[in-house]
Amino acid sequence: MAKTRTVRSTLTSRSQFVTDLFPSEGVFGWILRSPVPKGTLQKIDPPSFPEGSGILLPRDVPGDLNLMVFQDKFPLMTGEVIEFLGQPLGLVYAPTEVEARSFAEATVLSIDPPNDASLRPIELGPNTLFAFDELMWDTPDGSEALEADDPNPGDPDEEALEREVTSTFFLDTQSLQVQEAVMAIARWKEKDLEVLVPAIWPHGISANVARLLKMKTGAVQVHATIPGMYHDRLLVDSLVISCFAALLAHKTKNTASVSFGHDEQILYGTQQAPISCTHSLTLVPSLGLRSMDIRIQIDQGAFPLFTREIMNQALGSANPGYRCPKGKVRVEIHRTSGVPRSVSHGFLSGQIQSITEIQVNRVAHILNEDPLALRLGLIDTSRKPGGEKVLPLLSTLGGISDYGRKFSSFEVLRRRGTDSPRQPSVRRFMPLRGIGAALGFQGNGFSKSTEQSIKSKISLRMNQDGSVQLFAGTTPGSSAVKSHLRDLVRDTLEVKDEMIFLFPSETAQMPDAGPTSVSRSISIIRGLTLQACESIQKLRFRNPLPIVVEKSFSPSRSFTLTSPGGYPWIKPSWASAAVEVQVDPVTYRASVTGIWVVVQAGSILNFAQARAHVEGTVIQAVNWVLRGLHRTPKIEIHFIDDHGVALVERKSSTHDLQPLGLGELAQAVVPPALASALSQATGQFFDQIPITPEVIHRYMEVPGP
Amino acid sequence: MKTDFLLNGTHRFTDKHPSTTLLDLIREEFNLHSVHPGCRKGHCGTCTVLLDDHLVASCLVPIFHLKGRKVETVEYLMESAEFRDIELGFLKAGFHPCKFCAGIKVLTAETILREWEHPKEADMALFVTKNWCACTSPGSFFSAVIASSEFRERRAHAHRR
Ligand code: FES
Ligand code: FES
Repeated sequence: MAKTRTVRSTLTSRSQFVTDLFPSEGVFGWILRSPVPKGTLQKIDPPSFPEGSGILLPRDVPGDLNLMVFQDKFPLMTGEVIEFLGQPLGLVYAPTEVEARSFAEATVLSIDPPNDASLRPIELGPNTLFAFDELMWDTPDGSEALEADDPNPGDPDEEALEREVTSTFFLDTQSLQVQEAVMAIARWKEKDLEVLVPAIWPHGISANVARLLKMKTGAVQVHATIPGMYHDRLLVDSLVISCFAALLAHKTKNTASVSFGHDEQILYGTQQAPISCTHSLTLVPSLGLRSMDIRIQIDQGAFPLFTREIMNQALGSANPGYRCPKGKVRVEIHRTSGVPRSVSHGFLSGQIQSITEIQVNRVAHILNEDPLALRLGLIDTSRKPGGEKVLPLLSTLGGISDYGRKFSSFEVLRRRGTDSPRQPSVRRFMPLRGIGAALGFQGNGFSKSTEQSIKSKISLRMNQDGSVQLFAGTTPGSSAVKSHLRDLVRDTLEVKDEMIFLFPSETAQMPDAGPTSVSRSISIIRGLTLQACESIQKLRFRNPLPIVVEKSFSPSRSFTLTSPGGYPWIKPSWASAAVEVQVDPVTYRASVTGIWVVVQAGSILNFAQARAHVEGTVIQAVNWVLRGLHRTPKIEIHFIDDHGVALVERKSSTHDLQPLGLGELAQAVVPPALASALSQATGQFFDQIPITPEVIHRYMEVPGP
Repeated sequence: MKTDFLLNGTHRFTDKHPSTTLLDLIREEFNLHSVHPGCRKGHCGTCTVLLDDHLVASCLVPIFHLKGRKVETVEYLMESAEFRDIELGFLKAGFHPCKFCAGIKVLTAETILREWEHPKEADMALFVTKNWCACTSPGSFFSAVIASSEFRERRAHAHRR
């Protein structure tokens, strides 16, 4: 039996936060940052340092000053040209953090102003274009199929009916402002350097520290502590403070700690990229979509990171699965003077899908059709994988949310409101109501080409005494995943729970599993563990113990950018959502009155936790769209299988269908459903997110297109 | 200056500087790590403790305010029968907070249950803003507290019988 996770077990679990390990001795560093976004650093004039304090500058770095994130790099600090506000210039250290901070504040910087060109406000455009990629298709068979459906082939009137719907969207950064400090502690263990830090990719940090200090990778051990509330920034921010702490420990031969304070997080923490997108669809009412032309511009800050992955995600998400014979998606990454941006496995994909979904709802509005019914006609059910699975998501959603009926009644209300020039006075103060729906997927893990370069590994060892040791990197603190892996080992190898040992995320023991998230652990690490168990099961009665099996993940086929068929991910999971809203016509404040989500993500390991997981992202998505923490009503979540059959709540067995990630699904479906619901309520088309009361007011006062 | 107060049922003294915050005191001197530093400005709620039965942000309370007062953290509550009601209630409702905020969620639930025997959603609404958690919905917290209140009632009746 799987162990039950209670709040007591959560509170008393062995996992630690880095703040619980706060060292009482050693040195503390504070990052000296640029107070201007652009310029040339001339001189750094620190105050006179007492014994035990000082400053580290680029020249103190023995190895490579550049940190690598996948294929892209950025300097840990700059000695000359300043590229963004808050760029690290050095590290001031002292015996306490307070002293280090006050020395940093007392340091005088002489910075030459930038030349006129770089002072011009930055707009995404040819000057800032860093890289781009395109995906184009023109499917002859697609159009043949369409012509076959065409009741009047070649009818010239159809051409006349062709409509073009073009919108320009702006999505602002999605990250919540984090109020939680992160800290890295570097300490010596004889000749090895140990770094303690909240991290989701400890091996990435250890490789970078080793290059920075010219040490062997094996001599830098990273011990990932559990993250607090938010994980997305840990890929870049944890890397930066770990490198600073390691450099300080290297220079002072002492235990060194560097933190990224909560106030610094707001100004300089990595966030998700802002996106702007021009989206154009042409359609013929009776035939469906004829072509799409999507141009996505992503602001990746001063040092674009994760660029290949970002392009794959954006190209693969622009058309979540609509039948369209002709199309073009162009993704541009721009270099601006912003803080380098982060990438999270699923958020970017969700943001891009949101745009297309809002656009499809707009098309429904223009054609005067029910958006759910319209989608049923537009979905490409032949698309692999997953095309045919999508229809049950829409019909289930329609059923549980009573979508059709609500949509038509709100539509009637809205029309009455806008048709009559003089509204009856009572109605003017009645809340405006609307409902919206959307469909979307989550890729699970990174795109295939990134996964190929990461090659996640796990290893499983069966010892002579029958005990089993599993070395599989998962997100620190994700007890649900760990307990599932334990169940998997127990059930396949038939060993007792006490004989199974899982190891914490430490580079010294664990093979590299790549940046972890719950969805990656569930869809990739779980698969590798199962394969390893099966191999051991085959070998254990033939070979002498101990047996060690290693498995690594390498997706067979990488994503080719020539066709829209297929997704660049290993196995997508799907969801649909409906959101009902109410807007106060006096304060323009929007409140969400109902949320329904239908999830199709293989088998569900633990219903309560899956529900909590989806709920969490629903809330984050609502908070992103409406900005700020909002109260959300009860969220109705339904889990269905590929054929639309509701999954029953029971303990899942390890032999069930493959489970898939579901934590990022709501990011793809809730924002467009919410934006469209607001559009129905107010009669205005919203082409930007967040949609604050000020935005609603502005759009209602000055009606747009 | 010596300050004395009741921490988790035990009489304690401290001679730290009076402006030291309660948060630093209980983490550093008494090693109670269920209370986490977050914003240190009273916004995020990750440092919440019970001070004379009220939820307070310990990052805002300097220790000269503590004289003769009662401070409780979840470590103390965990030893009581009341905690069991909350544990079962959370489990029944499928409410699983993370380790970062689990302590606060339990303390909040306990405060609500001390105030109302049968809490209504409207009663609890003000309490959810005490912690800046964007990963669980207020709805599921409410059901967890309601489930806890049922367990507590059952236990009370069992005693009466
Ligand atoms: S640390 Fe006290 S409220 Fe945030
Ligand atoms: S902060 Fe712990 S569940 Fe949200």
